[in-house]
Amino acid sequence: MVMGDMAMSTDLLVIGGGPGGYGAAFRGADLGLDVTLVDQLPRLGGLCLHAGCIPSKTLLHLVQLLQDARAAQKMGIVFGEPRIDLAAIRSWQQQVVNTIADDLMTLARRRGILVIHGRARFADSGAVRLQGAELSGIRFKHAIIATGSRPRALPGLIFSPGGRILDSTAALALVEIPKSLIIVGGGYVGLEIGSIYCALGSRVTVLEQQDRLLAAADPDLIAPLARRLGGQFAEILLGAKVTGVEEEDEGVSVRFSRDGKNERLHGDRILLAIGRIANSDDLGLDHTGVTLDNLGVITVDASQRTTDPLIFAVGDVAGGARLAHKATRQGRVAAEVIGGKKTGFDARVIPAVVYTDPQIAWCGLTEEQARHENIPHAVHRFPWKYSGRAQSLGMADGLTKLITDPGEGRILGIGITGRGAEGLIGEATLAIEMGALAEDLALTLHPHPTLSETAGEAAEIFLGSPTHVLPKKTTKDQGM
Amino acid sequence: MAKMTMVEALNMALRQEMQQDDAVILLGQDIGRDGGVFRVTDGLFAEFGEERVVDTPLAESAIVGMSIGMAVYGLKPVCEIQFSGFAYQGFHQLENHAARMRWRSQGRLHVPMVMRAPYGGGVRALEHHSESREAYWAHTPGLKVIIPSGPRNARALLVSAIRDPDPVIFYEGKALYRAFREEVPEEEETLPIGKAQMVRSGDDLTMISYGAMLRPTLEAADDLRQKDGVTAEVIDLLTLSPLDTQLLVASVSKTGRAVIVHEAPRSFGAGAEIAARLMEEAFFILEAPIERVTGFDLIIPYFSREKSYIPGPARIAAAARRTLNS
Amino acid sequence: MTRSFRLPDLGEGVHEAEILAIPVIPGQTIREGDIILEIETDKTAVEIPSPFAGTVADILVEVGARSMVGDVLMTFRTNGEQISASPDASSPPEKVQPPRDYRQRPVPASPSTRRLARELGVDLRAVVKPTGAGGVVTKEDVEAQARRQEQTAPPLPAPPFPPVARAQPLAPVPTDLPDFTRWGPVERLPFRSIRRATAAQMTASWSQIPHVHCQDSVDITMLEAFRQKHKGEIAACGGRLTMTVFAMKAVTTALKTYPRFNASLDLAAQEIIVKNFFHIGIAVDSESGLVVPVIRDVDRKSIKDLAVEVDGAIARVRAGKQSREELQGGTFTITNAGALGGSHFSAIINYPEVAILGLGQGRMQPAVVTDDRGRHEIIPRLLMPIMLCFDHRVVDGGDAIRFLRLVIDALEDPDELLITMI
Repeated sequence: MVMGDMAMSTDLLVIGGGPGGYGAAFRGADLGLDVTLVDQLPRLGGLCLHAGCIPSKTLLHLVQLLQDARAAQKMGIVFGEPRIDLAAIRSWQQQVVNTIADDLMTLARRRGILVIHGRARFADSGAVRLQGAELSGIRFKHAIIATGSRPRALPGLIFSPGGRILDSTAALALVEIPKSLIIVGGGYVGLEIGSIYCALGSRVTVLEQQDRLLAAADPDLIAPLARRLGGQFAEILLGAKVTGVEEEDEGVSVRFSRDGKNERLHGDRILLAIGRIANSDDLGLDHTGVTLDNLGVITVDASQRTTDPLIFAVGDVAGGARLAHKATRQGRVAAEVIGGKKTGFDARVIPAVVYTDPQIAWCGLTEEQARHENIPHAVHRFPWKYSGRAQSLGMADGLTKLITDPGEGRILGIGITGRGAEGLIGEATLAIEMGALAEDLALTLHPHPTLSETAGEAAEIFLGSPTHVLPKKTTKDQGM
Repeated sequence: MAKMTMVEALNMALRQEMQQDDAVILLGQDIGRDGGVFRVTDGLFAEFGEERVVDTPLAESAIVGMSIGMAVYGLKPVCEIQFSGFAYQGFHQLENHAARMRWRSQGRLHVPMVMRAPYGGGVRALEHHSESREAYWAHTPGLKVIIPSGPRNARALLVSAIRDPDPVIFYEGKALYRAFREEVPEEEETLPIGKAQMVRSGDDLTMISYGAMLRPTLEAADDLRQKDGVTAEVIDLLTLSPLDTQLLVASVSKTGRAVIVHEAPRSFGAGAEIAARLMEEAFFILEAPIERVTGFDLIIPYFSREKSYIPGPARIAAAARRTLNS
Repeated sequence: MTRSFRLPDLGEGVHEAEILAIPVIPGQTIREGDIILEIETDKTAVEIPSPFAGTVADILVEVGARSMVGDVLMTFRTNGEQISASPDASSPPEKVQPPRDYRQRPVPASPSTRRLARELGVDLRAVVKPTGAGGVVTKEDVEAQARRQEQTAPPLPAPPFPPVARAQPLAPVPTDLPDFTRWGPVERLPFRSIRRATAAQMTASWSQIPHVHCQDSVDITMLEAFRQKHKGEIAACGGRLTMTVFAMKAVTTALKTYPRFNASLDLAAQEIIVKNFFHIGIAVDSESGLVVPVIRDVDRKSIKDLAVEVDGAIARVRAGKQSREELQGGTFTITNAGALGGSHFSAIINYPEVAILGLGQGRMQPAVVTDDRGRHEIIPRLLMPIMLCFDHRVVDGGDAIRFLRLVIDALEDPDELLITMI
């Protein structure tokens, strides 16, 4: 290009190509808007597809295969020692990502969405300047910010490509399998990636500041996982407050305090999985009326509108649970509001799944939260050791629990731990969205033998007469 | 139908015409390997090769002269001048030869060529890169002058221009190149040369515009409707020469008032000609003096003052209100 | 502990409400969700469920009172605790958070039902008796509630009154009423919504505006014949060709000629506001009272268009389905008592307009007709009473007579109407 300030105008500008961004763009296009999407990656999918959910779940499936093969020994089938071809795994992972990314690009093209590879910064409340793109800028009638979040580093630390201190993106690139990996953070990212590296042969140590893993979920759901990981990981250090990490000549070290003592741990690599921060700082938002909270999260209302009436924000950058499905829905809501529909983000529950083995999934009210906020509730637990299907899979340490209103039995929350929890949580989410009673769940036929029976039986506990466990004398656990 | 920018739509027109007719040849500076300064010819070199997409030296007179020769010998050259501000090197070729070949040869020879050139400001460019001097060509008998206003009509008119047996000057508003996208059908579509389009019908005044000025004119019309409850009939000329006098007179006969908008300097510009024709044919119907909203009789300023030079919706609406109130 | 119940924010910009009924008494035991109040706002009547369980300690409002959002309406003694001296006495500090407000618990309803509710503007909490299993609000419940809201939304009087006049209840008549029951049985009816709005509007108009009435009659024999001839074709287009429609057109012509009748007096600014638009209000007698829908830009519409539009507006008013917008923005009002058989009457100006035109029933009457040779003859003609009432602060009698004359001339001769019509 010789020169010139090539600006274009569009009805709806979406900044960010992840699940929130493309969700918004697709919905907007379907509503007849002229949509332009700008993303820093050449193809849609965002971090979720290119360096998050999809790559990690692809690897976790392999982990499961490895563990199942090992577990098959006691069931009478013995495999040889697996041979791990790292290059082939990377190529398979890339193949999965490519298929999805190409499909997304086709969907965008067929909907007439212009996808621009570049970086957008707001010039004012009606225009962005572009960097790294053929166009110099875009004027918009409405914009949706869906720039997501990035892994948080420790103060003063910057992730550098090729360094020994990894963030989740670098870890999932699976460049090599270190002999030892220290993971700072016992949330789902740390545990999922820890499971991957552990299965591929690393000695994994987890440092968690809180007194248990996965603090967002109820402790009884975590227990089977903690037991399992305790046997696989080298060490899980709870209550460990990390004070610093350093790259050394040979490997890395981490300093932390635990029980009032300062300690130091050495390893080949460190993964920092201590949360994420909103990507709101390099968008030129100071040229708009958008406001941020002290964590850099964009303030939005129920229709995802920011304090600048023409600009919306969805997904991680707008706060709340950092989950792709939430971002997609918010993106669709924002596009619908812009398209003139009366709508809002009113999902009653946002289901969450941790893809460890066993998996953990939950939605709605947790028992801890109910207790903390003094919400009247009753808890009904169905341990999987009573499930024929769980026994046949050799996965009897699972648990399905139902949290209901103590009176009428309205379902308020469900938690599941065990193989296939990802598939079971869907029914639970639908039940809560539909306002179902425990009775509804109990009276819905669940096929036998399946793991889905565990939800039906937990509901039968509420009614006082479960089939595969003995009824309690008091039929309703008051839980208070 | 796919949504396209004007650049993509022009590219499609060239590609499809080249696929259909081997006589269509492109020539110009950097149009081959580099795909053109604005990427209008992107990918055509790869598809059609160097025989049909010819990178030329930096010599506009030669580009135009060669095109005339090719055209007389039966090819259909489409030459690109990087910026219309450099086309005057080829002026002599166009005026002295292309425009009069049919007349001079008493109809035995004709020149089916197209000269494409980006014109106009609004992209913060340098000197010689922002002029709007379509009047030079429109003042020259024997040349047709087309100025599209958006992706879809640009594509259809370029196809018509390539197929036209006589020389056509095809001015592309560079501010429009990537300004917005439109659905452009994959199937063949042409538009007649010499026909304007009524893009919005109205009762209270007629607004006449073309090229990059159509969008600000429509914005002004919206403003008038919202704030004054006035409906403006908006006409997009599309072809400057020959001028569609019939549609202009019909519209002004209905509304009694006219505002003409162009980016080119005021004196002896297209607006002057349009106003004169309306005076000749609709004088007794006019209820107010015709207003012209134009660039100024100045060299177009550099980018920091560019916006004050180019007519914007506010200036256009103000002129419309003057005609409505007089 | 004692908890106070304040008038909750009812949404949609409503900030005051009238107490219609109080179905509880002090000392009564209430469960969470029991109806404790019935209130009416500008928009609708709603039942308010109790957010607490306990006993009613004190009721601080009376039926008929108007309360603002945030006013304390009742106090409750909640379970197992004594009434404390002050209703705002704080509870002993607790570690746990207080139980969540019942009203904040989500109403059980499926996502699609919730979407429908949003689209129809229904608050799920307004559905008092959900029909779904286990108390789930169904799609049908939401649709029924939407219909209820539509029906109970009171049609509002035509032009918005100055805010002061609206916010205050009508000033009571200074002298106390005697006890009528001394002389026989009586019935007490509520005085609200349209009835009260009409009263406020008329009182303000009558007390502020020096009214002058001019009366005349119009010979509509020819116009009636014209109307009879064309009413069929108008009916075919879905309209009703009435005298009102002709009068609207004639009035608009007169308003353009005498613009001061199309005005409002701005005493604060000491200016007369002359309006350059011609929106004519039509007084419609409906079951719930007098409502004045406004027909916009009468000067730009044909008689046929008007016949269709007026008929539609009347139908909407009678069905109680008119929108708030369509009752606002009038510049002049026409009231036609003819259909009900009325003759001469005096009308009250629809403040802040400046004049109102009244029409009576056209009746066959003996009329003296003078032919072009000056001979008089008494023949039966169809004569219609016509009245113009105007604000003498803004216009004078001479103009009023000229205005009325113009209207009469237009109505007496359809040709004249067509020729002068602007």
